[in-house]
Amino acid sequence: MQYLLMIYAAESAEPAPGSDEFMQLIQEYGAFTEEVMAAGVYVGGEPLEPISTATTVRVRNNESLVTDGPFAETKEVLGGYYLLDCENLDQALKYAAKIPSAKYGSVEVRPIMQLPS
Amino acid sequence: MEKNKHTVSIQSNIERAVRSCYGKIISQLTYHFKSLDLAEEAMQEASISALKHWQERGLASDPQGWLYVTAKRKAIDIIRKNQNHYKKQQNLKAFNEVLASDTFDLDNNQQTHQDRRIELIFTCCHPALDTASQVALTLNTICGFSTDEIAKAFLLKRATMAQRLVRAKQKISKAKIPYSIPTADELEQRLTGVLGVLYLIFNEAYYSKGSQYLSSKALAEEAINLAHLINQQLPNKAELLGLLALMSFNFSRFDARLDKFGRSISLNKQNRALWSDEQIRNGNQYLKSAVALKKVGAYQIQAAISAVHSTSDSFETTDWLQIYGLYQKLLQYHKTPIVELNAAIALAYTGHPKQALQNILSLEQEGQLNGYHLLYASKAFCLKQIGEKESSKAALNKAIELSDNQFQKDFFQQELASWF
Repeated sequence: MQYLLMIYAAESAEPAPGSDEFMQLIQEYGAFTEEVMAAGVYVGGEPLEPISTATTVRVRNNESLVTDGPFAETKEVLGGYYLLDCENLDQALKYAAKIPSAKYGSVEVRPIMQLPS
Repeated sequence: MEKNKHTVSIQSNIERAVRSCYGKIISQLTYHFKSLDLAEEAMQEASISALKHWQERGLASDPQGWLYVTAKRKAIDIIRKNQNHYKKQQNLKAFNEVLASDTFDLDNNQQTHQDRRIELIFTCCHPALDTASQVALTLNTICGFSTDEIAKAFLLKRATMAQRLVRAKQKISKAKIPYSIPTADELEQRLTGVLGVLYLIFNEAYYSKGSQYLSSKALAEEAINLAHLINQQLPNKAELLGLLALMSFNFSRFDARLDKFGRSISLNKQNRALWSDEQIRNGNQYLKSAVALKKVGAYQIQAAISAVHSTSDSFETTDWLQIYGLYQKLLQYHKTPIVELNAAIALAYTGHPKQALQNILSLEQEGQLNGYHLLYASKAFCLKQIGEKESSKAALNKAIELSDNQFQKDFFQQELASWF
């Protein structure tokens, strides 16, 4: 079963690029990615650019409305994701708890829908 | 007429037989087939078969074995009929394994009686589900209560309860919540969740308002039985033993807690001769085993408080100093305004109404219990003890005003009349 682990955090809570804390975070992410790869559960995963680079599209009455920023003002924003293939929810939750940003943000775990073929 | 009566009694016998092993069979099937939906569907078909067969030929000599084997065959039929659906499921492997082992295991009774309820209890009480769903699921799948019965017990509409159960079951299957006992590193935390659900079920029965529908005593007994079952498989868990002790002590007062009109009787007015000695003995035994493990927790302390009441000859001769000490200890684990109020009440009974009143007044200032009638009833009691008649009357009137139950209002009115 595939699970999407969505990493949410307030950008203000993240360490500034270049700082020691930032380097440590990068290292921790590297170690986590290696762990899920070695365990054979890794399917994919990427960090996202900051929320200031986001653009939102909505189609209403066949018209595209393009606005800057996210759909709603929220403090915690989606900062990246992992797609893991796990045995069950408990395994996915264990990995979610190991994601470094879980210590100051949150990780939402969602099963990937299994479409009838 | 006679024949009808006979049929009805056979039918209710069969229903009772099905219910008594419902949770066991659902758990075994779920464990084998890795699908709660399939287990429920198969069990439903097996129950229909049972009704038909047993009405004609009488109850099977081993109803549980009969139901299990029948339900397992039904499950295999369902899988064969819906090959396409099950092939797509990730758990096809599990199905294939069961199909392969089917021939030698189908009538092997030793294996059929392996109890897997504990695995399913951990599924039903998984923290990925909200608490209300955890309670409903446990009652539905483990205890075999129908949607109707659970809805009535919780004073909810049937449709609301049905939706709650459907959503929770969907989440179990879609998010693939496992059917297993959590690993050692998670066990303590997950067990705490399960204990919370069992205590909610017990309290729902004990303080039940919907008791006329679902026999509240049966519900309370289920909670104790489930805790006992977990204790058999996961022995020496201090808080589990503490909860067992607490439920046993409270259950000992089950028959004394209501009057003949179903109205609750407070501890100081209960007929202690009606308390069950057997349950008090059980409670003491569990509490002793819990304390020996030297891992204190909130259930054990609450059980100890209940134990003091259970072993007192009367309300007046209760060791209130000990109860006060235990509430102080409980506050270290469970700091809530209600526990603080209870500590203050115990203090008042130790002969320190002035100090108790101070504590109640500061609780009133904090404001969290301001809609709570017992805050004012306790305040009234303390004020009366120190001779503040007028303020005491005012507090008791406030308690009467805030109480949502006529019986309680009448009770306070009587106090008012007898005090002044």
